[in-house]
Amino acid sequence: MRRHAFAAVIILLLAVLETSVLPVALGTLPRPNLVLIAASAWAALRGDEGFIWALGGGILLDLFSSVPFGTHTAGLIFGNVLAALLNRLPLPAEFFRVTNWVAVVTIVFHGVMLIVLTLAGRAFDPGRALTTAILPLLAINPVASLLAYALLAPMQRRLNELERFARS
Amino acid sequence: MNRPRSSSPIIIPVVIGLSVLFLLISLAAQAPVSQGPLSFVLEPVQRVLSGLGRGIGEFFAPLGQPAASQSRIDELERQIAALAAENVRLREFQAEAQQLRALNKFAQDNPALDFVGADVVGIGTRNCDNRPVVGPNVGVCAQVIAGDPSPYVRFITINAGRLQGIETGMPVIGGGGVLIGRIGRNVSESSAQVQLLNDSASFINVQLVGSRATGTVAGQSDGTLRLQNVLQTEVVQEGDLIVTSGLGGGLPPGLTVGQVDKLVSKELETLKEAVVRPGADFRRMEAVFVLKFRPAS
Repeated sequence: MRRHAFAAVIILLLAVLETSVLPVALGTLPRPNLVLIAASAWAALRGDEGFIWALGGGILLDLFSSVPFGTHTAGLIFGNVLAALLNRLPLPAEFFRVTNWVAVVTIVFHGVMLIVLTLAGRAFDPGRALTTAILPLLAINPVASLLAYALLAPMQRRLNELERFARS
Repeated sequence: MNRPRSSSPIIIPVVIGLSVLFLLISLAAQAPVSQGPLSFVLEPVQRVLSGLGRGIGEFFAPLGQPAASQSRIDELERQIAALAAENVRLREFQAEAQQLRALNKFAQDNPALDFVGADVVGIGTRNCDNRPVVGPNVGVCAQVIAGDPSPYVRFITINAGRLQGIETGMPVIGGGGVLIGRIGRNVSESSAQVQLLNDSASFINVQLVGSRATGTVAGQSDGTLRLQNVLQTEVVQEGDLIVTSGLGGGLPPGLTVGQVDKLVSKELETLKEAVVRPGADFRRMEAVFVLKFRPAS
């Protein structure tokens, strides 16, 4: 229970950082999706728990955003579902699972957002969206996920040990 | 190497179901979901963190420009903005005086007719709202505390909300007295989202200060502004100042929007179109002023 409360605080902090610090500090430059990276990295390492992080993080981003409510949540959940389905490749190192997972979620997350905005009647230029947001973030988010991996992997190993101990 | 595990078979279907449900309800109802009382908790945190972000941005800004010249550039930019705003006001007065002079001449040339003076308050609006127009000190100053997490929309969050009397549609003025946007539909108790003029769904009625030609300024998906719907017979020149026309009652008249930068329409087209140079830098906003102007419904 304590770790879920801890996760909630972390996700809230990342959502506030993503909406308050990054837009002001980086201006119009592409900004890493902090909530996406954390939730996807945790889903890649821990499975279902990451989906709960994605649900909570998506709801928070939706509360901070002016796009139709549920857009961020749906993008994060659908992205993680697809990443989980594609997660069949034999990988030489665990961190590749996290970077690949985050890359898949990034594509789906932005794809869902563009579809929902189109349904909501907003005009946008797909070429521009690709070059100014999606492609730069396809490089930024997986690289940033290495940092998330470095922070989350020891936590995951510790939890695994505790669970093994509890079972035995 | 461990694969991620599934601790419960119902978690994933439940989160998928919830996310689809949120989205469907939101798209069907077309109603914004605000932070509500949560904004009391989030607003101070966002204010502090946006200050931190501003500090980080300013710390790295000299990497792009020599440090000594940065303060001078800022100072000159402030002076230009103040002079541009003053210039707009003076040209607005001049144009108004010209119109009044012409009306006066018409009245003098037609002494047999009986006249009643009136202001234009709307075109095509069936009910003109006579609520008080903007006056001095009628407004709320607010700080910009956040941006939108989506890169495809251009909204900012300010630390003034329903408790300060903020309502959807109220005009928001940035540094230099230039219109930067309007309060969006998402207004919480202590924060509100502002739709910037360069958002792709933003659309306002405007007037050229010199020729008095009316049109609209719409935000584009690339973050630029376009002057549209100006009749081909009207004179539009590069450098013409653009202010709100007040038509439709959505915004008060005379708020500075920007200048005509470049004409992009061809002579064969029925309407003229031009790129607009905004009067405010949308990327560098710290404090804004919300005019308590209630838009006509």
